[in-house]
Amino acid sequence: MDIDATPHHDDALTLALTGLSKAYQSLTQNRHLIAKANQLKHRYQWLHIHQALRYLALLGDEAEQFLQVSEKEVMKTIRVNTLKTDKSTLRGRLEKKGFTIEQHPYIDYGLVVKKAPYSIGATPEYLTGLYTIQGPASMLAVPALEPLNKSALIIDMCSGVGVKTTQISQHEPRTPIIALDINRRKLAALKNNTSRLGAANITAYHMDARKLAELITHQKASHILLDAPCSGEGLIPYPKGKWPRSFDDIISRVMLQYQLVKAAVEALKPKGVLVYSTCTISVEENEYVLTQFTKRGLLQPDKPPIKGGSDGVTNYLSLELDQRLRWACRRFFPHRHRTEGFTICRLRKPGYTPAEQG
Amino acid sequence: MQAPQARLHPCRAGIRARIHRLLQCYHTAQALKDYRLYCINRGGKVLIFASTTTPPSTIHEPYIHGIQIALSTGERGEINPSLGLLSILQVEKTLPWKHYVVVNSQAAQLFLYGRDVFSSSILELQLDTKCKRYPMVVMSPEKDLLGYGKPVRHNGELLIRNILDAGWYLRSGV
Repeated sequence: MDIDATPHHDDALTLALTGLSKAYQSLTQNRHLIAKANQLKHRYQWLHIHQALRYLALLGDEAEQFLQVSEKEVMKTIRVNTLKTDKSTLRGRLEKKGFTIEQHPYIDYGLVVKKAPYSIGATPEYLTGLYTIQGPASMLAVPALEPLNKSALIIDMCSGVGVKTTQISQHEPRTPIIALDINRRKLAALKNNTSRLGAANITAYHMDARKLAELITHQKASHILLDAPCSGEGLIPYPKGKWPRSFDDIISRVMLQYQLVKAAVEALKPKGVLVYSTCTISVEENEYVLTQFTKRGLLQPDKPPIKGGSDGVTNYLSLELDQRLRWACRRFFPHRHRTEGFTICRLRKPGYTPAEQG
Repeated sequence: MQAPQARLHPCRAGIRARIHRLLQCYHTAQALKDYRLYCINRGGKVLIFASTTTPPSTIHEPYIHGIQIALSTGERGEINPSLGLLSILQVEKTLPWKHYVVVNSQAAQLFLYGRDVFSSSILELQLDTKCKRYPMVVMSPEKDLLGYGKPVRHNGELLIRNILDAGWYLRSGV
């Protein structure tokens, strides 16, 4: 990968990617690790040797536990749509139909489906929008934005089909929410989801979120959710998650994520909140990307008001990582928490205005 | 006659009046009191959205703003209600008082698969003949708003023809 030819040439990004490449190079020179990685790769044929090295560097002996987790071991969860119903009513209705339901361990309006006589996505309750299906850790990204308020302007930069966007609407049904996605087909699904769930305060745009500054020229956002496109390593328990990721795959994601965070920083008002989340356990795509902004004072780590998970990782390979991200990030691992692999970090734009900066 | 606008814009008085008439048929006119109506022309139809917020001031046209509650089609601008309207009625906890039919659980499930409802499955029927041009709201015994149907005579029996049901969200392929 030609780092010097990165689009939207940015010195900080170039430096970051150079640092990453050097770290990877060191990894490939570690004979002991390479031997272990080959053993892992032998047992998990779909795994790229680069992935094996990275997981061993991150998780050590836990790497195999992480790879062994199957889909069945991850909680299957639904999010109660509090715009239309309440948790106990919905739970009662589903249990009457033979579903076995438990409380989500980390969020009040989440439910765990332990046993389903038929597909949880085909019930009248689902079709009429009383709940939606959402991953157990993914459900925690939106609460990490709190406190929200009625004067907020909230942006969901990579909304996809709107699962988190509609969740924001549950928290603030009368506050403007802007949703962006580059994929028109996903926006069509977002339209269906907002309709099904009754989320009436969302305005969606078909656009590249890196150009966010072009969209909102007259105002800045008080809260931004950036659920960034990523390598999806948190989805490894699922068949669709089992595919090889090389170092170059990670580097290309880091480039995009950096550009998206840069756009978020420009679009945030002073003291505005950014929640950055990914469905990957990769440090490169989470703490490392964010360190490029926190070390320059463009963002400040902030403690997310959510339960569960492990601390952020601040010691990995030889990468420079902001130690404050240890408490500003929450990490969820399939083998530790029975959730999809997920990382949620909360940050704030510094509170001074350009006038104060002088 | 002014050409319909492709850009998102507040709906004109004529469309607002037709939506009001539709809601009156279901006796749910108050449900949208906190919502503003916005229209956009797409493919010869007018999409009518209801939103609790004003659209942001941006140079780009939005893909959606709020929830689509109806379509206006044809030369006379006939109003066809969308599933989104039922969603808003549920959020606002406003059930139709008129022009609705309640069906039993089995029929509700079949209705969601796109099937019609036979008279033997009807638990309650409140037909308003003055609102014949609009479909009736079809409800489950739990008062979930499942979709829209039209009463027809079929082999001498009353049948509720499925016009649009919430199963469409799965069948739509998106």
